[in-house]
Amino acid sequence: MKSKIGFFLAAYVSLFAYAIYFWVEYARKLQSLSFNEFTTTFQRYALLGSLLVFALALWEHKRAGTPHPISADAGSKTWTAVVICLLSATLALSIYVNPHARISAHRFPFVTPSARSIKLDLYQKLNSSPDLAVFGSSRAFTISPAYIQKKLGYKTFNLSVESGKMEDAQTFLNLLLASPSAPHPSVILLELSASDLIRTISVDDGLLPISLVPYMSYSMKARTITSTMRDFWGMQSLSDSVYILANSVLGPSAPRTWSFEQDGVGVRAPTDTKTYNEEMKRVSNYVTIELSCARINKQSAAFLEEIVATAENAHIGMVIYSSPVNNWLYDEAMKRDAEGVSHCKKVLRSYMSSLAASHPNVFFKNLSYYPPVSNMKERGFYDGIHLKPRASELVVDALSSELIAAYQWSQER
Amino acid sequence: MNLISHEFLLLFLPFTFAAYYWFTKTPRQKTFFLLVVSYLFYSLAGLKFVPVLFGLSLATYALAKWNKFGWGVLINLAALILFKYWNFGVENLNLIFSAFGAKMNLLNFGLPLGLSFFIFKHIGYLLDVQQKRCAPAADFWTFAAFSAYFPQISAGPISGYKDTAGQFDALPNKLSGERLYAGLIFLSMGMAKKSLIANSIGLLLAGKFNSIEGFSGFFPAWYLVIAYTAQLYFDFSGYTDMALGVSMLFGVSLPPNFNNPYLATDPAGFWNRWHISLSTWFRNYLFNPLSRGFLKSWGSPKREQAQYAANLITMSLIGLWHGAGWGYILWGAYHGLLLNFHAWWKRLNRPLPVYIGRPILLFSVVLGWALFMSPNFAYLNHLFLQLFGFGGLGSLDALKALSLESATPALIFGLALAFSGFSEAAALTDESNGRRVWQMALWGALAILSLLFLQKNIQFLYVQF
Repeated sequence: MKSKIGFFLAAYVSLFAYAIYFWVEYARKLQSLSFNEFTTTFQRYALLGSLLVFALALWEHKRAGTPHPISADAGSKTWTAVVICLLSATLALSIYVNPHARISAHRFPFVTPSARSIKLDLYQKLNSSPDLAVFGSSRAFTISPAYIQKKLGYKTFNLSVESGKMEDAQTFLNLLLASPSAPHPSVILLELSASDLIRTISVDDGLLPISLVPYMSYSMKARTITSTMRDFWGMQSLSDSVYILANSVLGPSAPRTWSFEQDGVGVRAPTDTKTYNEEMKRVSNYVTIELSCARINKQSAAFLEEIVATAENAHIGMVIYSSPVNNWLYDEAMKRDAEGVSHCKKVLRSYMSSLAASHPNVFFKNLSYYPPVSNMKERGFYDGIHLKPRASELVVDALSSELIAAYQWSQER
Repeated sequence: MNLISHEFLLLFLPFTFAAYYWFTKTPRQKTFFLLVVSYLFYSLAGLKFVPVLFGLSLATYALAKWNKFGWGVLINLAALILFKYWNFGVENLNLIFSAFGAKMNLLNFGLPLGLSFFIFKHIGYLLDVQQKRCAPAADFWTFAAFSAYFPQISAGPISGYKDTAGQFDALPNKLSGERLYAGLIFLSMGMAKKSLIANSIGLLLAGKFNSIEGFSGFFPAWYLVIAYTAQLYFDFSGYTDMALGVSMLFGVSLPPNFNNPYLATDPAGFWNRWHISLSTWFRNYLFNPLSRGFLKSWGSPKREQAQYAANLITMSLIGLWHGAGWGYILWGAYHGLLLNFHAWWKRLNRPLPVYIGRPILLFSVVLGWALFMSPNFAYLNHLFLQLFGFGGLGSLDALKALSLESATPALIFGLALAFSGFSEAAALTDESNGRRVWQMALWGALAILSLLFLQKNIQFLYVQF
């Protein structure tokens, strides 16, 4: 019994002492709880609380004598009831607050990127199918459907999403084709960077909304279900939900970088020069990866070809383009690896030419270094890669002939 | 699939558990069901190695049936060498061959999940049948279910055919309240040990801190090895509690693997309490025959030398069992030396009091884990220099940063628990104090809290062995 008392004394004293120590050394010194600081503090105290529950559970076993003993069956039923109650409560909170945009509820702001969920909702609210859909990453956020309609007359919807990967393109293509009897867009404008063809095609599991499951491939469906389960019953989701609720009570949270209009176009608050410079510094670490590539990844190429073939069978023209990068970024890449950059251009051009040769619905234009946009620097970019609206208009101008050709190809079928 | 994952705990386990008691009625049906779900579990970790598991099970069963025990052992050992040790051997041979300009190619098969565990079950079965300690399996499906039994396939415990498959003939149609109750406690305790203690420490050790550049000085180095000591124990004993608990839910009892190992006072006691199923296997199938063989050929006067040699060989092979690397072999040999030193000391008949014996043992075991955890010689060298104070004491800033990590409260709690005498779930099923509602409510809450902390999934360390 001596060692038992020793353990409980050590456990309780150390847990309470640590809670106070953590408060004094960390939490108390925080001026205001930013998102990351809140997460650290919440999760640390949640861990201490859980360890306390652990100690109490052990104590219950070792406590001598009991006034109200229960049977093994009743014990198991108690365990099951508590587990079901807590699982349900956690699930209800995750669904109600929906901090990671896993479902289509918009009661509160999200703490993670959420374009997939938001754009799916917006798309499903459209009265009629658009003529043109924009796919791609956040580099295509500012491609304006209104500008395309004004310039070319095509009704457009922007379905580009943050950290967009080729799996997104496949999923959204399935969404467009979901109802075979209804009309679907004639053209897809796909923003594709070299890294899409040399690195992963897979969307980060944390960004997969469950509302897109009907349009996903089987492997993506399985990943979405398991990652959503981990998310709904995860400490991060719990801590983020509490953060959001606290903010909604205490005051509005900081606005997200991007918001989206009815046609899917992304809107971002203007950035000052200081933020711009900081962003440039941040992206400088991946300039070489961005613009240089040894060879096309076979798996990525096969995946793209599958998407292209599906579109071709549905008589959808595809305009694939590489979005311009800031001249500063391009110069940095050239300084670091000029040979790699020029090799990458060749590899990409050669691959896309062969793709276009075998699929008549494909039109390609590499705008990764496009002087009218790239040279705009701060006037055209929020950072190294994200275009301001005017720069996006110039991109649409540059792609006009391809868009018209793709549209005509589709209409002729 | 991992025992401690949302997929397993929220989908696989509840559905298989419900289907098991809902759809199967006879022990035969239940055994077949266990076989199917075990292969499903195994295939969810990757289909590639399912034929390896099936092929080795079939070969072992058939060769035991035909009394070709030697061939059975040989085939299993060959598979173990091919998948686990081939590249290690080739890398070492290439060091010699390189002097002659020659080079052997490495194989790129990958390592089948639980290979060392199910192969040891196979070899144990073959030797037991040969020595008539158990009857051969009545049919292949029962043997295949034993071989692939999903709660123990990833990381044991390594059980004998007679003990485990013997229960398949009497699988209950309805789970008793007592067994369900015990199973849920084992499961909750295992989840808490793994998720709250081992993973909280593991998150720190998986980062930059656990690298040559990441730590320097006496105190950070000792923090590191003590943290690893706690992580390894709670990770593996947490896994074992979960495996035992899950198995109880299906009506099968598995042997324990731990018995408060850090309460041991000497190396022999430690190995009677640490990874019990592995040390029992090695004792039964290697140490005993080996020491008898040495004794026979060297004669009684060299009884001590026979024991020393058998200890050293057995422990080195236990080291090698953990992985293909010199670090593991060194760690095993080091424990062989500790056992020999203890045997020699015992013969002097000067027993040490617990308060001296236990600290000496702990110091020796923790130094052993330093060998075990080192991925290469440069790391090992750095770690030992820091542990023995050749790198200074460590900066206060570094210590303060460590103290604010979530690993620190988990480590403090874990250390207190490790020395409490009831850090194994088995110690909690003695109900002489009576069961209370709060007791099970707290275990239920703890299971969910452990589940919530599973976000950054850290694999069980022993699954890689």
